[in-house]
Amino acid sequence: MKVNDYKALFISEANEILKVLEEGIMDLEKENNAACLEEIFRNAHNMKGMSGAMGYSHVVEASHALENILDLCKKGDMAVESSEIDGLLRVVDHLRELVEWSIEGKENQEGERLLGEIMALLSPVSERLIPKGRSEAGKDEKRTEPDIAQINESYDKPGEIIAEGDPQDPKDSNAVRERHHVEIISTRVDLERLDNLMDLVGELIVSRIRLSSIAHELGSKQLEAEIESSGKLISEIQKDVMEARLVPAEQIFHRFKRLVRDTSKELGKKVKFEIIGSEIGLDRTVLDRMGEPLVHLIRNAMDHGIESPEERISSGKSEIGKITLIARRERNHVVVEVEDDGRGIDMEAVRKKARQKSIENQIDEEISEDELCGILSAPGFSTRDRVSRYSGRGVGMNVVKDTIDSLGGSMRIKSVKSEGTIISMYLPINLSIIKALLFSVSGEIHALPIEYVRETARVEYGSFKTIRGKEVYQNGEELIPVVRPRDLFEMNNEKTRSRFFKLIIIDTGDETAGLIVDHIIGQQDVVIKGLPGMVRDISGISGATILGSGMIAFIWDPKVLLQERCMNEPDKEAVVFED
Amino acid sequence: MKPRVLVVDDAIFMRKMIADILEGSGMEIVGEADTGAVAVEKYSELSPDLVTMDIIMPEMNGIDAVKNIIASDPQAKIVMCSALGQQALVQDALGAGAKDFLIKPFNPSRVVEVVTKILNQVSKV
Repeated sequence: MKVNDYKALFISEANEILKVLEEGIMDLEKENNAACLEEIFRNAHNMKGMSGAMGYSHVVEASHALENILDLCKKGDMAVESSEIDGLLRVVDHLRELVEWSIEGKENQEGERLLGEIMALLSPVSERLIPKGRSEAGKDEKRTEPDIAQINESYDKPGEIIAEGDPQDPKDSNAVRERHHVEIISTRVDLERLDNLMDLVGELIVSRIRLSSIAHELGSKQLEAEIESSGKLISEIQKDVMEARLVPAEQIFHRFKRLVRDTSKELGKKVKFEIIGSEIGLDRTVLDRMGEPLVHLIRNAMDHGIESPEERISSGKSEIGKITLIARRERNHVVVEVEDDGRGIDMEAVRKKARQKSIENQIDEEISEDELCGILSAPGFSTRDRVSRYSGRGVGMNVVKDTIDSLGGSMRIKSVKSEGTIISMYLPINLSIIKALLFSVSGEIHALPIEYVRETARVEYGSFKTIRGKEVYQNGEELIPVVRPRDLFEMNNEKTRSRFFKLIIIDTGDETAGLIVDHIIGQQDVVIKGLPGMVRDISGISGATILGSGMIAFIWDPKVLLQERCMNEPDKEAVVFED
Repeated sequence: MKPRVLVVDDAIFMRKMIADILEGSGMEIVGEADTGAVAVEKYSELSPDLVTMDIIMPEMNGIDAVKNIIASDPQAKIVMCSALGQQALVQDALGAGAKDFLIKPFNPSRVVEVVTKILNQVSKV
């Protein structure tokens, strides 16, 4: 059997075990309960077994020592003391590092040092648990090995250790055999394989679109129908692969428990940390990239949001602050929120600082959510001065905002003085294939993500009005500002002289606008391709896609486009419509 | 007919490893269980020819699972899978009716050897 066949499984199960160990030890800090101790023990034991099979001897020894300590606690009905929790958590940290080195095949480089540190951390605990004169953790079991040999003799030959054999022996390779297990309801798939599948599905979609346009040119209805039905199958595959590729938010959320625990100790604050929606699935790339921004936001919430216990009591709050990390699905987005019940953002300080830094020329008394977000995430807004004197959250906010922007998401900040702050991040569920509305302007085809399209309309020129110098479209009671592509990009004028216009009504949640286009082509799945260097920095374009004809269509980002257009308006009042 | 085996271990990694070894030598894995309780249930449902049983598991440990299975089928063929240092537990399991044991980490040929030996004993009985 090939050890490598088991590596992926080992990695995923070892990570799960490390997570359980860390959370279990933190739970022991709150309450010493036997079930929890049993679970940690069992997981340390499994880590030992798996590492043994992989031949990771340092991990075996470290997890064995940890298992022994937990076993002593279990058997002696002794509690882990709260002063020992920090040490045990560090053991898990080192164990994680040791596992990582071992997986990379570099156990020998750092193995001895890490194992030494683990033993040093465990030895005071084992000394407390084991009466003097007896051996320390990790050595206890070795003493008893002869006993197992006795049992072995009485029954059969002793068991051997797999690592001593030849793990590469082809005779042992069982990788490709078909399995006939009863009731296997789930399996683990290498993420790289899923990524590859997703790419292939993307190619299939492009190829299907090409075939469609060829069939259309040939005028073969039969071929078109056939391609249509294979298209449905491709969509189903795409949906399934996309879903399979989603990773539950839990995979990164769990690590913040430790962050909150350690930071609250450091800052002398009391914080209850709650996670909601950890089962919500996110694209793996999105989830990977959200780790750092969330660390920033949670640290900020603890450092600047949550008050000291004394301050909280004197302002009539519970001395225990609360931070909630939430994930939820909303239309085509996953919303991730960090909410705290701390002192809120000091708007006066933000205004003052923004004026000083000339981030916003005009700062009204009331700062809107968008303005607040813009100010706080402006590069350079986070200064040591501000961090220490004000209650805002500028530290690294520009980094957070940049990450969200680069993922095609958006961020909102809501804060109420003395009540708390909510930072909401709207993230795409899938980064590679989206549904888009294709339209043409001046002979070029463009794409708009369908989630921003509220409706399309064919309107007569006469239904446009001009209010305070701005063109608007009256849709029943509603007045919608009209946008011409040439206002957004340097484009040739769209067809004029026509009595009718095609209008796409865009709704970004913050703004609504009617975009005048030449033709509306229709809805289609498009595979997002990155933009080449030259056009990468065009604001308002999030990517490009290859059409069936082989032509490239730009994918618009209406959120950015409309926001910029709004900021460039000389008369801001004009966008406020009153009938 | 292929011998039918039920693999019991709370670690997926270990279940896959032992299943691969046994399937590689012509046995059929008819079921897997990750707790002692599920093992007892699956044993009565599947009536396998042999069970490989881990000891330390949630809900019900391997020894209690052996006791339960043997109580319903005294002829049950169970091979314990233990780690070094669990000799006392292995003794308990053998006392409760397990037929043999394997020490983790597994050596494939040793696993096949022990399992085959116990299966042959079955046919003699």
